[in-house]
Amino acid sequence: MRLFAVFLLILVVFPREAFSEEKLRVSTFSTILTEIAEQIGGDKVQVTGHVKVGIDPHDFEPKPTDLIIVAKADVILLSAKHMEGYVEKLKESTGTKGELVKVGDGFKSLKMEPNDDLERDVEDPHWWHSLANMAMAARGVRDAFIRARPNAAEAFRANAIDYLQRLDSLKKWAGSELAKLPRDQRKLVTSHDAFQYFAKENGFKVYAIEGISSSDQPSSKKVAQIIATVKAQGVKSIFSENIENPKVLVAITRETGAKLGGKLFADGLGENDAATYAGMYRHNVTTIVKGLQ
Amino acid sequence: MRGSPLLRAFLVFFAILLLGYPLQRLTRTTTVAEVQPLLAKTQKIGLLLTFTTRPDSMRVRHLGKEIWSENQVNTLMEKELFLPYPKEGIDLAFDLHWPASSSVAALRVTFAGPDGETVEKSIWGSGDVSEVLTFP
Repeated sequence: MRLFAVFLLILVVFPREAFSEEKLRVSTFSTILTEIAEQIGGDKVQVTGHVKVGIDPHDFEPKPTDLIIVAKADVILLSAKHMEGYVEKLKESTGTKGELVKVGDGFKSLKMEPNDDLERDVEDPHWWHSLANMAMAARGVRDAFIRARPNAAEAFRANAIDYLQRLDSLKKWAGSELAKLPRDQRKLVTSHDAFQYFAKENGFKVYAIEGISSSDQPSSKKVAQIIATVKAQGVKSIFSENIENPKVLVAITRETGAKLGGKLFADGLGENDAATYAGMYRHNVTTIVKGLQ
Repeated sequence: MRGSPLLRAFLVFFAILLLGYPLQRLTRTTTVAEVQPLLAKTQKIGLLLTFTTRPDSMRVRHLGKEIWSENQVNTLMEKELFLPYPKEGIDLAFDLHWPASSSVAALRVTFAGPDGETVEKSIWGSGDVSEVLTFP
């Protein structure tokens, strides 16, 4: 009887986590957050990225298989800033006990370029194009993981320090590359409006042909405005994106004499050299500098 | 349709001709001349560099090109430069090589713009340091 009481006491004093090596289950809804979760969590987490590379996150809807995984997740990472319109449905339909972390809501929003075609005042949800935001996101994810699994706090803190150092190196590299571009030539004509955070951090002005989503269609008035801007500002190149059709951009180059500067990664990670955040950011910076120089 | 066949043929030909112009404009393959970026006016700027520890060498780059380099560096150095200076400002990249044995050193850059207004910015570090400063 005394032995049984001791056993019960051990179970109460030391929770299940102290004994088990069970990994923290993390669900993410952007390729960027998948990378942050994997880098900060290391071998202490099991990450399921529901939005895969090449999928437009603006159009993504979770499937029943996603909901089953979310229901069992300890931490659910969301881009926020209205990127995931299904967030309430996610909570209700899964009944998850996991913490929903709206990562993007942790920092200031930038508004998208005023657009006659849009009646609403829309915030740009593509916060990851700012390295300062990425550092804040990494800290936010670290803290969420520590709350969920305090006994692995040391590992999460060490991984976060390493990741933040790599972001700092990336910032120095980007500063040096962008310094090759005169500040008066930092005009970024892109197909959809996804680079406001990048622009603010690096002294660019964005002229987007489409609105918030890469599936938006521009009006002829908007296209005419962009053509006039490209001509008046002497913009050398305009940029398309990895997951859309650059037909309108080709027409603009024909009218203005500007070049197609290459594809930028707007909505998340890509493949090959853009399979990591650093790779994606380097690709975007190199493409922009080469196109506008 | 009334009128002579010749007149009708002429009207049809004229209608095709009218349609042809917008069609040609929409489907043309010739491209207009390549866009030339607007170039900023070259203006005089001044740089005053104050080092806490003398570096072994220093270099300043503008738009990826070296505009000033010294292998014999004093704690106080000054230079006037003529650079394209847009209203958005300029980026200057500083490459500094402080002795490896030295503790953290600093460089204070006093920048005098074309209008004579001065701005001060600092760089801290040890060993090899590369940093970009934006002026004003």
